[in-house]
Formats: sequence, structure tokens, C-alpha cells
Amino acid sequence: MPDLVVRDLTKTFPSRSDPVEVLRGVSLSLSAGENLAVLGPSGSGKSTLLYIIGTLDEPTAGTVELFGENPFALSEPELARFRNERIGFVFQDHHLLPQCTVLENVLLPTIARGASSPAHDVRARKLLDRVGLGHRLDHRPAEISGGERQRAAIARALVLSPRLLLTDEPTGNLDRASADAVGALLLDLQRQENLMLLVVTHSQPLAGRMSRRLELSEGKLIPAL
Amino acid sequence: MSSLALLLQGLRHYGRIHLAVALGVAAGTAVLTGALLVGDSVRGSLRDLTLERLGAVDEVVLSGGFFRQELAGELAASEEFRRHFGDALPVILLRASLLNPQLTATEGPAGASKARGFSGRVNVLGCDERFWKGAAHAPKKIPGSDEVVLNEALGKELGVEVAQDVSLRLPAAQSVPSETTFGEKTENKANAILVTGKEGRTEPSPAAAGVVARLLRPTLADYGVEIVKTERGYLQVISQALVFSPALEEAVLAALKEDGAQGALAYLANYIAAGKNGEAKIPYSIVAAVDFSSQPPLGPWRDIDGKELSPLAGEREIVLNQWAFDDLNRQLAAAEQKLAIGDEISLTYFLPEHPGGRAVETTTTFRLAAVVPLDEGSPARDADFTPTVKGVTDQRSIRNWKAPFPYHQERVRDEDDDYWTQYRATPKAFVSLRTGQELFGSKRFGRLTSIRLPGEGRTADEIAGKLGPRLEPEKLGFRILAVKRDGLAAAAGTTPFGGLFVAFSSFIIIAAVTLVGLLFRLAVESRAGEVGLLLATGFSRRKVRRLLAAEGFVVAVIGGAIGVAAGAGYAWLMLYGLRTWWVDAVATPFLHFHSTWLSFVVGGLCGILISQAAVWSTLWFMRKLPVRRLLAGQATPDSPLTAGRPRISRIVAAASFVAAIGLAVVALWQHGQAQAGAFFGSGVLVLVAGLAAVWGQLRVGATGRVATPGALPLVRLAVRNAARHSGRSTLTIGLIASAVFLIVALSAFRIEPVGDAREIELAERLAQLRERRASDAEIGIVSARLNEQRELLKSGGTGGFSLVAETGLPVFRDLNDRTVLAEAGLQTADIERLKGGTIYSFRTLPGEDASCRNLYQTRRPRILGVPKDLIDRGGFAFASSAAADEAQRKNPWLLLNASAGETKGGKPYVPVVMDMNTAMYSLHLYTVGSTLDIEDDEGNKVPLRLVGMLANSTLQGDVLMSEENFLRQFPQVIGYRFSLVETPPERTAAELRTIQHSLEAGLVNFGFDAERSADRLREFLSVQNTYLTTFQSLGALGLLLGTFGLATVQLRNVLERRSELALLRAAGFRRRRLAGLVMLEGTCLLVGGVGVGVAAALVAVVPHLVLGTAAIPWLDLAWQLTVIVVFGFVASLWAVRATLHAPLIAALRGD
Repeated sequence: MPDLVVRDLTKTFPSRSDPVEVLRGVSLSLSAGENLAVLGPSGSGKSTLLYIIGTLDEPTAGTVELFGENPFALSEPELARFRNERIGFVFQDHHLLPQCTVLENVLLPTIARGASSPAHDVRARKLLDRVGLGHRLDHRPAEISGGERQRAAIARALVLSPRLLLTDEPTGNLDRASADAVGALLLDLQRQENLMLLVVTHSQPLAGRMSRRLELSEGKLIPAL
Repeated sequence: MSSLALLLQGLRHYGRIHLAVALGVAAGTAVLTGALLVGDSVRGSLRDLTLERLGAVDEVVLSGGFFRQELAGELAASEEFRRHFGDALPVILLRASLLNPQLTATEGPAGASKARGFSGRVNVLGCDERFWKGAAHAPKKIPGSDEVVLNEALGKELGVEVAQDVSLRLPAAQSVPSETTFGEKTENKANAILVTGKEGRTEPSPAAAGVVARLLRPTLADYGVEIVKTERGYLQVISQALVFSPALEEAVLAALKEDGAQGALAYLANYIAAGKNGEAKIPYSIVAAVDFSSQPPLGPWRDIDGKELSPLAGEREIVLNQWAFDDLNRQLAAAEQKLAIGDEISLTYFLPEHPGGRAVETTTTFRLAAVVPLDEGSPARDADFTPTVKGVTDQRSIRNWKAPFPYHQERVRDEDDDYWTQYRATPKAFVSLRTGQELFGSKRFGRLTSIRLPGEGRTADEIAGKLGPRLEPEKLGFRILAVKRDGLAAAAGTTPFGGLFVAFSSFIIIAAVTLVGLLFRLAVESRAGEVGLLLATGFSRRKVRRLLAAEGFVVAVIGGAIGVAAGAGYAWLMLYGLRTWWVDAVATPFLHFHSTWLSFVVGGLCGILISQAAVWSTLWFMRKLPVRRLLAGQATPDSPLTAGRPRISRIVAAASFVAAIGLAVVALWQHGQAQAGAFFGSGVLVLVAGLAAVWGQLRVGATGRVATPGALPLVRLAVRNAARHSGRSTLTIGLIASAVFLIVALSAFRIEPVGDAREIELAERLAQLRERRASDAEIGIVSARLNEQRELLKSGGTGGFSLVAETGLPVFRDLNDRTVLAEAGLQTADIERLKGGTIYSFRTLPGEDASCRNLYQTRRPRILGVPKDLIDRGGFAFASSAAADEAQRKNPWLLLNASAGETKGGKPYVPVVMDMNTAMYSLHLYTVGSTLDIEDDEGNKVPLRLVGMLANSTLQGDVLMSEENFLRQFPQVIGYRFSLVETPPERTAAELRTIQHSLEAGLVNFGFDAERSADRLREFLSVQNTYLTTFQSLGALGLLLGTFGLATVQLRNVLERRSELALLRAAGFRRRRLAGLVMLEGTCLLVGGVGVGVAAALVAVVPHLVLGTAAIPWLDLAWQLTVIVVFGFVASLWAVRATLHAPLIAALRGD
């Protein structure tokens, strides 16, 4: 049984004229250790799909089953805990807190339900080492490069060992070299951690690294060429 | 890493915006704390004033008459007294008038100089050196027998310096009420005791309460009571007051009932007459009303035939003594008539009470029941029936009487003087006690002149020993006033100044809280991405809210702490204002800073809590924002420009506008405050309509296309930008508009007293027309206008009276009587000037001034007895009344004569009228029909019911009841002390001044102190107007604070759109042009707010301008609004500066 099962997902946004139907009966599944790229032009609904799978947005119709559970049936605190423990996010914008150091930013998810433990600290440092930022622990986001910020964001997404990593255009703001490095890092970490990885991108090189590729067209998922 | 660390880092990183929030909290807290401190200061200053005024005096024992000075020593000798008090000082306390002879001789009492040279109501204290011992402001030299010490204020009023002469007009020290026929002067020793505290000028201990009442033991002499053994051998209780007060009568008769005590009343008959046409007359004879006792030595009563008389059964039966019978018969013989038993005898005498100060003579006819002998053994031969009256009973001849009533010496015959020589004041006629009391007794002053009891085997001392302990001082004229305790309690104040200044400062508080909300929202919104990330990484919304709220709390606590300290500064500023700009609100500049910890704590906590409410409301608005939107850095809901058309706002705008018109139409039929309220309400509705319309317009985008050719594209773009956040912009416009509305519209509540200036102007014009012999038509027109004006004034605040006067001493005679005025010393020309005018005199029960000029809490307001003539005349404007029929509606004063219902205990309520301000603010009676209990001098409760409230009148501060009810409730109050003077029509300003001067000069012995009604009213209204000014000034201050909110909104707009603005710069916009755009956005909000506010305010104000009932300080308003607009522009520069300094590249990159 796959850990992620999406069935007939529909998402409609209200507008001043007619409602806009972004997703029209999208279905997909993903198991542990698998990775998937969702491609599509801007405005095709890629990010919407990612946010719904990541439980940050709710579908208009259809179901999402994650690890055998319907997350939308959970209460807000339960859902927050579910997301905290099982899902990691990497966004196009790194969203690092300017007031915190790189290490503190990585540890941020660990304080969602209390203070971080020494084990968390060890894991954060280890992750930062693995993403090549072991020497930047006490730097502020403003003091590091764009690629480094994104790597810090990846470390942050993995600090609580989630089982699903969702990335939204993770290389969209990076130069080619940095983008390649981040893409490689993501796959490397996915394999090491045995994660489900879902990458939403319109970057063909990044999508090409994934084992499965789907394209969102007119609100429906079709196999990518 | 922990939440705490995250919190602290957030605080540090966003320190600047947090500082702004903290300053907002500080402003709100400072204002709240400051307002509470103003309350503390008013209470504290009143307390200080009380302690300073009273010095060491804790309590005062007052007596209606004079008593032995030793009584004070006896009181102080007690050990219990010494435990609680310092000393008891006997003093004489009198109300008198003082004159500066030099000033009054040259300028008249109401001279034009600042010093009036005259003061009509001065409390004069006669004291010895003990009074000055330990006093804070004792004179260097204790005043000698012809010296006085004046306080500084009185010295200034009189215009005198040390060593200068002043003239002191004291009342005759009275032991006999002057309104009774025998009233005359006697001398005594002290009439008050000052009880000083043990520790001087400090608060008396609660344990001292009631001690003086327990220890005060006056002797019979102190009550003015004496027991004497008469020549006939019986004992007689007599009062120095000549007549027994009802309370004394009741107490003595109750105490000596078992001793066979019986009362007697001696009275003076101007004539005893007999004959068909009253041909036989005996002048000035004593008539005694007695019980015809059968026991010696008071009886038995026998007629000339030796037959024992039984008590007179008929109501109108009389007994003559032999001399009177023979004298009348002798006179009748000339007319060939003869007096016999059963014939008519008439008595002519003065009524015992003199209403209006006039002695009224009346005649009553009796049937002659018997004639009693005048031999030695007869109980009728007893001069002791008649009490000693100085100037009368001690005179050798009747012709020498110095009578305090209209006395005609020429009536006295030789026979009368012979009788006087032989029998002195032995009564010539006798009636039953019941009849005598009915005819000659006074329920107010008394119904007995002596109480007699058989003296066999008993001495006067024995009876005195029995009677003394049975008399209760507080029922018999001694009043014990805990002046310091009551004064300190009253220092709590009538007006809760803390609450008042919280209300006055409400706009500053609202502005500060709004600012806190706006700044906090700005802080949170600028961190939208952070919030989104925390939610995405598994923070629950509650946890995120708590984190942000915790930051807000820390900021609020810091701001609150700053605010508490700044609150003292705000309070100081307000107190400075109350001592200078707004001094009219508190009458005198006596306020000094006082504080209590409670005010700091309450102010601080309230400031923090209110700020927290603003913080939580901000977080509440963000509770449902999608994480996705937050991650995109957007902290606002869906763009309003894509929402549906705002039908609701248009409906609200239209409905409010229609309602505003409806209310304005209704207002046209209202009067006074109700009308002002209705127009104000109409203005509020226009404000709501305006704001709803603005909101609706902003919701749909506010303008047409921006990029179309034509004028003002930048303005259109600015308006469109302001419309991007319609709620935010409407809030800003609403804040400014509401403040502007309040500041301007409240001007409509300022009241300019309708004085007599117009009346005087017309009168002077009329005089000129008459002088130059203008046509009748011309004179007729002006005369008609003058009459109209007089009618208008009659139904206004002055009631149509030109002068209000008070006297230091009671006036007993009718001041409308030309002879009385002439006797008082008024010149004939001055009396002529008063012709056509009327002086309405009111009986007065002294009490506290319950007007808005007195900040102390009123416990016992002054009560005025409204004369019947004034009730019939009517006048003054009534704000509300309990009128039940057309006559009462036309003249609500008639309600004073009507029944006002009964208490549950069946006691009738006394109907009273008060000025609305007195009723509502001093006595806390908010509606007609409210009830109030007051105490009479004997401590009995008198239930009052409010039947009418006067609107802004010169009678503010007093409780008014009919004179009839007044006499019933306060029979002991004598004379008149308050007057309203209706001057003759067509008097010029000069004539009015002359009338005022001549009355003051002529009645100087009474301390007649007159004031122009218009001036008095203006003084009262200035309190109300000053409160409005205070509110408007503080409102303007709040609006200034509100302009920071405007700047914050603009800054938020700039920060949100920094990439967009950077793009415009990249597209070729110069920095200056962008700055202009931002400035224009701020201007739109500012002008929109001021415009909507002014438009709404005009709806409230213009009708009053047209009707001429408002005194709008246009210049002040223009100043305030100009300052606000300028300040708003300056605040906008803050946002402009942020625009100019925004880094282009970073903004374009979205950093």
C-alpha cells in the first residue's frame, strides 16, 4: 500500500467572474523511497497540488491519504503535529528567519512542540555538514549565498526526519551550478533517508533526475514526456 | 533552541517596530494613568484644602442661642474628651457684612475697581488667644478689642491693607426670633465651641465619632431656660427666647408632667374693645391663655362674686379682670351702653407670624364669660404671666416702650399708665390655653411663654436637677458638626474627575489603541512569511499566535511601564491646564499633584490589557489566512479589488443619510439640549453614511482608469493605491473623521447665556426715541420688540430677573414696601427707580452650594423657599417636569404647590425643583420623580421629590420648594436671605447699575450683595463650556496621535509594495515622483477624514448657528484643525522617507 494516495483531487478558486478550477480529478500515489517530479507551466496548479498534499491547503473535492490517514480529518493541532513529524517542505524562497542563525533556522521545526533536544542539535549539525554548511552554523541568512540558503532550507526540512519531502521549485532562484548541486543533494538525501520525494518544478534538468515524472496540464496529471 | 529563544530573537530583531508599538502602548497607558492621577489630585487637593481651612478644628458645636463659655471647659474637662481631642474653645460665630468705608464712600459697594470694598456674607469668629495657639497662620499680634484679622481673599475683596479701618456690620445678638412680636436684642457669651484635634491638622480618628455628643452636658441656662419661684409661690419655667420652641415645650412638659406642670401663653392685644361699635377700647394689654386650675397657688379662679370658674368651655370665651371691666364700662357709659356677662369683647392683635415681614393686625370677637377680681389673693393678679421683655416690661411707663413692632404711643391713656404703674404686666384678659394657642401661638416659634407648676415643698434647683438630664442637646438647638470628618468625606468630590478625564481623554486612548493595533499589525504583517513557515513546519496556529502574542505582551509591558511614568507627566499637564486654561471648570486654581499607587497600578494594567486586546484582535484577523498566502509574504485576505460589489455599504450609507435627514427634521421641533442632541445624532448618522460611502467606493477601486489621458493620473493612482486596502484606509479615514466630527460638533453644546444685553440696548434706544420725540409708530415698534425680549428672557436661564441678591443677615420685611426701603436708608430717587419692578424674597435654609462651582460632594444642599408670587409669576426654562395638566405645563412652578405623593411610611414628599446640573451632577438625581432625603435641624428626615428640572439657570446649586412647604419643614428659619430682582421695564444699563448700587448701599446692614443675573449665569455656563473645551482640546491631542496611525498605514502600504515601487523606479519614475505619489496617498486619507468629519459636524452645528443658540469658537477650531492637517502631512513624510530610502535592487529581488 503506497504511503501517499491522492484520488480525484479537485481544487476550485473563486474569482470575480466564474470560479477557476485549477485541479480536475488528479490522482497519484507514492511509496517510501520513491521520488516524483510534477512538471507544468506557471499557473498550471503544481504548487496548489503540492500544498494540498502537504496539508497546507484543502481540496475542493477528492481525497488525500497519507500514511493510511486522511489528514484533513484531523483537528488543527493534530494536523500541525502530523505535518511537523511527517512532512518536510522546501520552497523556492528559502524563508529563513533573518533573526536566527543558520543552525537555529534548521532547528526551528524542533521547537514547534517544545524546546529542541541535544539529539536534535546533533542531527541539525550533521545535516548541515551533509549539505556543506558545517562551517556556517552561526551565520545569519543575510551572510550566506542564495545556494547556501536553499541548502540550509533543505536541512531544516529534514531535521525531524520526515517521511515525505515536498519541494516547490527548489532551484527556481538558483544559478545552474547551484541548482544542480541542490538537485543532487535532494536525491542523495532522499535515498539516504528513504523518503518519499515530490518535486514540483518546471525545471527539466531537475525533473530529469527523478525516477517518475508527471505533467499537470489543464488541471489533470498526465505522464510527462 | 527554544520558543523563548525564538521570542527573544524576534524581540531583538524587530526592535524598531516593537519600540514603536511600545510607544503606542505608553501613550495609551500614560493617558489612562494620568487621568486617574488627575482624580487623585483633585481629591488630594480638596483634602488639603479642607485641612488647611479647618486647621486644628475637628468638630464644631453650634447653638441657636448663646450659652455660658464654661460649657466648653466642662466639655474639655472629661478624660474621654482628652483621649480623642485637644481642646474645646468657646467662640462667637456670626454671619456679618464688612465694608471698606473709604472705598464704599467713593465708589459705592459695587464700585468699578477690582476690590469691591464690600462683602455681604462673612463668617465672623469671635475668639480669644487660645484659638491662635498653634495655628499655622496666626497673626503676629493677637487682635485687640477694636481690631480684626481678615483672610487674604477678603482683604483683597475689601481693598484694605493692614492697619486700615474696616466697618463690621454684625447682627443684633438675638435670643428672640425677630419675626415674633416681642423680638429684641439680648446679650450672651458664646454660641459655638470649636473642638480641636489632638494632633492638630490631621485626620480625626474614627473612635472620636460621637464622643462630643455623648459628653456635651449643657445646663438649663445654656438652653436659655430658667426656673424661678414667683411671688405667688409657684415655680415657673421660662425661656430666654421668650417663647418656648416646640421641642423645648415638649421636652419640659414631658419631664415635669407628674409635677402638675401647665403651660401659659401671654400675648399683647393692641386693643381690648367693647360696645356695639367698639366704642370702649383699652390699648396695649396683656392677654393670658391659661388652664383655669382649681389648685393653689395656680388657682382656684373665682369671679367677682366668689363663684369658682371652671375651665372655659367655649372656643371664643374671654374673662376680663375687674379693672378692664370697669374701664370699659366707664367708657361705654358715655355712649349710654353697659357691659355685662355674655356681651361681645373684641381683641385686636398682631398675627403671631409675619409673612413677608409685614406685621398684620387682626381682630377676634369673644363672649365675656366672667370678670375676675384683682385683689391680692386672686390668681389673676399675677404679673409673672408675662415674661420679661427688654425695652417693654422693664419700662416705667407704657409710653416709654421700645417696641420691636409698630407701636403707637398716642393710643396710651393716663389710665393705662396708672394700671401699668400699679399692676405692671398683669394680664387684663384671659382665654383658655387652647384658644390662646390657636390665636396667638406659632407652630414655628412656639405656643407657650411659661410653664408653671405648684412650688410647695420644692425648690427651683430641685426641679432644675430633674429637668436638666431629661433635655437632649441635639433636639434643643445644639448641633454637633463633625466638620473635618465630613469635609474630608466630601473631598471625595462631586465629580469623579478620574473618570471624567478618562472620558475626556477617550479619544487619545482610542487613538493610542488603534495605533498599537496598526503598528502591531504592521509588525506581524511584515513577518507573514515567517508565520507561514512556522505553520508549514508544524507549528500549530495557536502556538504561532501565542508566540506573537507573547512578543506583544513583552512589548506592552515595557510600553506600559514607560506609560505609567509618563502618566505622571500627563497628569501634571492636565493639572496645569486646570490651573490655567481650564480654570473655569474648577473655579479656583487650587489643584496640586497627588498620587496613589492604585492609580499607577490600575492605569498600567488597563493600558497593557487594552493594548493586548489590540494585539489579539490583530492575530484574530490573521487566524484563517492560508499558509500559502502567508508564505508569499501576504498577511491580508483576498484582494478586495476582486471581491463582489459592496452592496451592504451602499445600503448602510443610504439608510444612514435618510435617517440623518429624518432626525434633523425632528430636531427642528425640539428645544435646548434635546435639540442639540438630535442635531448631534443627525451629524453622527451623516458621519456613518459618509464612511460607509467611502468604504464602498474604496472597495470597488475608488477611481476610473489610471492610465487614461487627462488630468491628475498621479492622484488617481494614489487614490487607487489607498483603495487597495479598503478596510485599513476606511479605518484611518474613520479615525480622523470621528475626531474631527467630535471636536467641531461638540461646539454646538457650548451655550452662550441669553443675557439682558439686547434688552438694555432696546431700552436705551427707546429712551433715545422718547428724548427726540420720535413718532408713536417708531416708539411702538421698539417697545414691542422690548416686550418680546423681556418675554424671551423670562423663559430663559435668568428667568427675566436682572439681579440675584443674597444677604448675610436675614431680612424680615417686605422689600417691595417703599416705606421699608425708605427706613432702610434708600434715597427717594432710588426708590422711584425701582417703581414697576419687583423683589422676590426667598426663605433660605443654609446649606452647601450644590452648583458645578463646588467640587466638594454635596451632603446638605441649600434650600430656598419660593414665594407664592414667584410661583404664580412663573418663568425660567424647564428641561423637564412632572406637569400633569395644561396649567402645570404652562407654568411648572405650580407643581411646588401640588401633592408629590407619600413615602411607604405615609409621610408626604415635599415637591422640589432644581437646576438640571445640580440634580444630575451634584445630587445624582437623573429623572423627574427621583426622591431625596434631607435632614432638618432636629435630625428628622424630610423626603423630597423632584418635580421639575430647570435648564441652565441662575438658580443652580439650590433646592427649591414652595415657601409654604418650607415653613412647614423648617419653622425655625427666620427671614429672607435670597432675592431675585425684576427691575422695571425700559431701564438702561446705567439705571440698572444705579439700582444695584442703591440696593446694596441702602441694605448694607443686611449685607445685601447683588449680582447681575447674566454674569452669574455666564459663570455657571463657563464651567460647562470649559469642560467642552477640555474635551475638544484633548480630542485634538488624540487626533494628533491618530495622525501617527495615518503614517503607519502609509508605511505599511509602502513596505508591502516595496517591490512594486522599486519596479516603478526601474521603469523610470524618479524618487521624488514616487515620494509625491506616497504623499498623495496620505493626503487622500487625511483630506478624506477631515472632509467627512467636517461635513458631518456641520450638520450638527449649522442649525445652532442659524438659531443663534451656539457659541462656536471658530478661531480655536480652525487652529486645531490646521495643526492636525499640518501634523498629518509631517507624519506622512515618515512614509515618504521610507520610500526614498528603499534599496532598489533588494526590493526588486524581493529581499
